[in-house]
Amino acid sequence: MNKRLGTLFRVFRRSTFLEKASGAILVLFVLIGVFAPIVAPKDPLALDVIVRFRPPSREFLLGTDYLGRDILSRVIFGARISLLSGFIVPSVAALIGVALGSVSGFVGGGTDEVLMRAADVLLCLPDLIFPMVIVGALGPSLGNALLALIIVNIPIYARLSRGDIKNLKQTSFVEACRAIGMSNVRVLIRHLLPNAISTIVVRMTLDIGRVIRTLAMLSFLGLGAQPPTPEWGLMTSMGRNYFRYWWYAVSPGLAIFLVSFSIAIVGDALNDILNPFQRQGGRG
Amino acid sequence: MGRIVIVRLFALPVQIAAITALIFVLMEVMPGDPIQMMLGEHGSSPEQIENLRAMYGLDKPLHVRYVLYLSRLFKGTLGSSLRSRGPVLKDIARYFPASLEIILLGVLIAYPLGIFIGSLAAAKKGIIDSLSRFFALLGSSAPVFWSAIVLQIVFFSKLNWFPAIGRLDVNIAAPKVVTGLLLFDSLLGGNWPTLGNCIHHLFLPVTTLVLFQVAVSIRMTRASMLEVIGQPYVTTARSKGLREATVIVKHALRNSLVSLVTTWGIETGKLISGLAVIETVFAWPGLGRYIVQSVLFHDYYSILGSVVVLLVFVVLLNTIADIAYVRLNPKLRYE
Repeated sequence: MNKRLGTLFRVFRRSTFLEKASGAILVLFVLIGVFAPIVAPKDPLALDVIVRFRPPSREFLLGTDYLGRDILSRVIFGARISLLSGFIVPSVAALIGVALGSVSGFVGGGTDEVLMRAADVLLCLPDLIFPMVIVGALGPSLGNALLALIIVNIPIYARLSRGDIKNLKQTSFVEACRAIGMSNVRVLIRHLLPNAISTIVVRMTLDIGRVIRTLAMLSFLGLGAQPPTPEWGLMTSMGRNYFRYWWYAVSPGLAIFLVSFSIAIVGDALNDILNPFQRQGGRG
Repeated sequence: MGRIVIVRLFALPVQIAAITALIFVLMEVMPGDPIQMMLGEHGSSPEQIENLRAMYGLDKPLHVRYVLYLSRLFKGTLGSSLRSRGPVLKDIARYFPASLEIILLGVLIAYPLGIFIGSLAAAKKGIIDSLSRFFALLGSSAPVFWSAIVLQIVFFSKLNWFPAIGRLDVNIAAPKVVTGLLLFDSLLGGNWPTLGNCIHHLFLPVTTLVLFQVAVSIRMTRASMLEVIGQPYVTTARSKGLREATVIVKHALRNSLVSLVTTWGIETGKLISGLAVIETVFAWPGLGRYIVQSVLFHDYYSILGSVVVLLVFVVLLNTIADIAYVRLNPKLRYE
C-alpha cells in the first residue's frame, strides 16, 4: 500500500500544472455531486416566480431560471446525474462488451465473425443517431437515454477487447499456460484479461467525457432527462429560449465543458502512465 | 483497391437491411402510437383511426410491413412521412442540401486550418504545440449545443452582428432552386443580395461546426505528422541541407496527408451527430433537424428513410476516402 502511495505521489509531482488543475476540478465536481444536498444553497426544484430571471448576485450566485429556481443549486444537483451516468454507462458497456469481445477473440471462427459483423452494424451510424432512434422508440426519459448509450457503447468495447485478446492469444506465455494443462476459461480469465484491462480502463476514462456530452445532447434535444430534472443538457435547452438572460443557458453548459475538459486531460495523463508504449509524444 | 470498393458497396445493402430490420423491431416495441400523434389530442372515431392505420400499412404484421418497406426502399420512395404525408425521399431531398451546405463549408474551412495548425505544432513543438493541444482540447470538450448558444448570445443577442436562426431573412426571396445549396443557387443566378444574406446566416452555424471539427483535424494532423517526421527519410531530407520549411511541407506533410484522407472520410461521417444539434439550435431546415423532429414525432418512415440516407452518405464518404487514399499513394497505385 505504501509503495502505491509513493507511486501516486511521484505521478502527482511530475504532472503539469494543467493536469493538477484538471484533477482538482474533477475532484471538486465529484465532491459537490456526492454532497449535493449539503452544498447546494437552495432546493433545486423549489419554484419562486417572484425572483425569476435574476442575474447572478450574492443571493443567487449563478442567477435564477424562468421559474425562479436557483441555477447554482440545479447545476450542483446536475453533477450527480452527469457524473453518475458518465461512470455507469462506460462501466456497464465495458462489462458486457469485454465479455462478448474476449469470447469472440478467444474462440474465433464463426462466433467471432457473427459478433463482429453485429458490432459493425451497430457502429456504422454516427454516434448520436442510433441512441436517438433507440430513445425515440422506447420513449424519451433519462433511463432510456442511459440504456441507449449503453447499447451503442457495447460494440466499441467488444471490438477493443477482441483485438487485444486475439493478439495476446498468440504470445508464448499462453502457449506455456496451455502446456501445463490449464483450461481455456482459466487462461482467458486469469491470464489474458488482466493483460488487456489497462487499454479498457484508459478507454473508459476517455469515454466518460464523451458519454456525458452525448447524454447532455440527448437531453438537449428533448430525448433524455425530462423537466423538472436538473440535468445540464436539458437546462441549457430551456435556457436557450431566453437570450437576454444569458446566465441561464451558459452555466450548465460551462459545467459540462469543465468536466469533459478535465477528464480529457486526466485521461491522457492516465494513458501515459498505464500505456507507456503508446505515448502520443509531446510529453517530456 | 477495386476489391475494397466492391466489398464496401456490396456490404451496403446488407447493412441497410440489418439496420432497418433493427429499427423495425425497435419501433414495434415503441409505446407511442404514431397515428394517435398524427391526429392530435382531439378525439377521432375508431374507424377513422383504423382507416389511417390501413392507409399507412400499419395494420399488417411486422414481417409483412418489413418486406413491404424493403420493396418501397427498392423503388426509392422510402415510404411516406406521417408529418408531410408525402414520400420521405421528397422531404429528404428538400432538407439534405441545407445540411450539405454547412458540412461542405465547415469541412473546407476546418480541415485546411487543422492541417496548418497541426503540422505547425508537430514541426515546431514547444509553446505552439502546447497551445494547439490546448485549443484542440477546448474545441472537443465544449458541447456543441453550448458553443452554438454562446455564439448566438454573443454575436446575435449582444452584438447583433449575425442572425441567429434560419437560412435567409424573411424579406429575402429564395433563389431559383438548382442545386438546393442557396450559396450556389444565388451565385448562379447572380443574385448578390441573397448571396450576402445567405453567407450572413451561414456564419454562426458554420463557425460552430468549425470550432468542433478543427479540433479533430488538429489532433489527427499532429499525430500523423509526428509519425512521419520520425521517419529516416525526413532525416535524409534534412541532412541533404533542405530548408526546414521544404522538409516539412514537401516531404513530411505530403506523406501524412495520404493517411489523413481516410480519417477525414470517417470524421466527416461522424460530424452528422453534431449537425443534428447545430441545426436544431439555429433552426436550420436540414436533415439533422429533420431526424430529431421525426424521432420526437414518432414518424416511422421518416426515421427509417433518413437513417438509410445517412448510411449511404457515410459509406459513400468512406469509399471515396478509400479511393482517394489509393490514388494519392504511389506505393499502392502501381501494385
